[in-house]
Amino acid sequence: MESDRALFTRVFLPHLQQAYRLARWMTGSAVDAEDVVQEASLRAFRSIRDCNGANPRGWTLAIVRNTANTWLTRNRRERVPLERGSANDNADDANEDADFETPETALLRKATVEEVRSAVDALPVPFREVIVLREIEELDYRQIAELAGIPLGTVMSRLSRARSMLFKALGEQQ
Amino acid sequence: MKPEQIYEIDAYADGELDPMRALAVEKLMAEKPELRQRYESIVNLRTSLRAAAAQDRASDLLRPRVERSVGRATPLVTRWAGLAASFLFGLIVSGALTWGLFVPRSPAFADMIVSAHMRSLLAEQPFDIASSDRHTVKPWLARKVPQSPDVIDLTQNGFPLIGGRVDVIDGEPVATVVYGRAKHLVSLMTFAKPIRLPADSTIAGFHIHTWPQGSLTYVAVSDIPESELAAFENDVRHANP
Repeated sequence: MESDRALFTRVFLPHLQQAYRLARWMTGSAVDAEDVVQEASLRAFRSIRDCNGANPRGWTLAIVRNTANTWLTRNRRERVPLERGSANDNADDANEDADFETPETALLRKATVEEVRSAVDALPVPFREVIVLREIEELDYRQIAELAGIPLGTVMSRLSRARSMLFKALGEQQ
Repeated sequence: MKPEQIYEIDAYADGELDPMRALAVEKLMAEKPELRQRYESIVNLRTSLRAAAAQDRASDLLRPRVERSVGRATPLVTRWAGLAASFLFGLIVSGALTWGLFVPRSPAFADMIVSAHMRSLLAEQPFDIASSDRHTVKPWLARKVPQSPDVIDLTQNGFPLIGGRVDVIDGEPVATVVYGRAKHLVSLMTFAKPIRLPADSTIAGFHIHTWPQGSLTYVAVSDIPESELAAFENDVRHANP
């Protein structure tokens, strides 16, 4: 039988750069991202037998995402009041019509790297993670729903809201 | 813009629509500039995000850091502790019942060999001397232990020399040569006395191969696949030092 270490080497390590990138955008910091990946790697190693092997990349990213979320609530308490956590999904849905009634800001240019990073960093975590999983990790709606444990409809509404917020933030800087 | 329309534009930009719906959205965008503008904004945002993400690269130290911390991680430690506990239990039971008669020496010996290999994985470095040069490792080992083995170069066979260390097995210093295999390690131990071990066994996921060679007994232990360890044994047997 394959050893835990061998399994870990085969499942987790090939996705290290993607894991880092997800952690990098979730935490907004290159240094914190490496801490998160290290922590995630230990979690992954301890539960390596739970990976059924069908989707090692998705399994790896889910662990990094969960670790990053834990890390954020632990290390950035000041942000929590700004977040609408998953417990507030109804509030999300109730507010979104109102949000969309305000005139939409367009993004008619390419934003710089710094602008884009700070705009994503300013997003509440539930919105940040869907936009990062979609645009940077290039997952589809179904994969995001599975990974984040939210319904498909919530993926769509959060993604749209995240985009509207980013257009607003980046549009204002013109 | 109605939320449903926005979702539809987003889903179109994300490639989530079937061809008929996509066609309908394209028609709609041609009629409504604000919808077209959202689509273009999405594409611009995507380009900006991916350009920024293209700069992300973990430092070269991340992988070794992860491997080190995983090398020290609990499952291995727990297993090692479990192994040590069962070994101790076996020792007490066998000691109490059959002391000096038929001590089940072989399994315990195999445990010690695997433990030595595991302990090396848990340590900061799996070797006491790091060198890929056999002319460095051999004299170093010769200074530490009475019988040091020939240190052979197996780089051509896919087992680069990594270093050497001295293990203490059953109270005696043992020369161990460490080889690499991808990200794994193979410990090759040499015993001057004949030892009784099951020829090839597996303990806690570590395979052990043992064979006599000249006046020595060689024992190889690693978590690489069984077939690769067999290849390693074959390479060592047929190498000319």
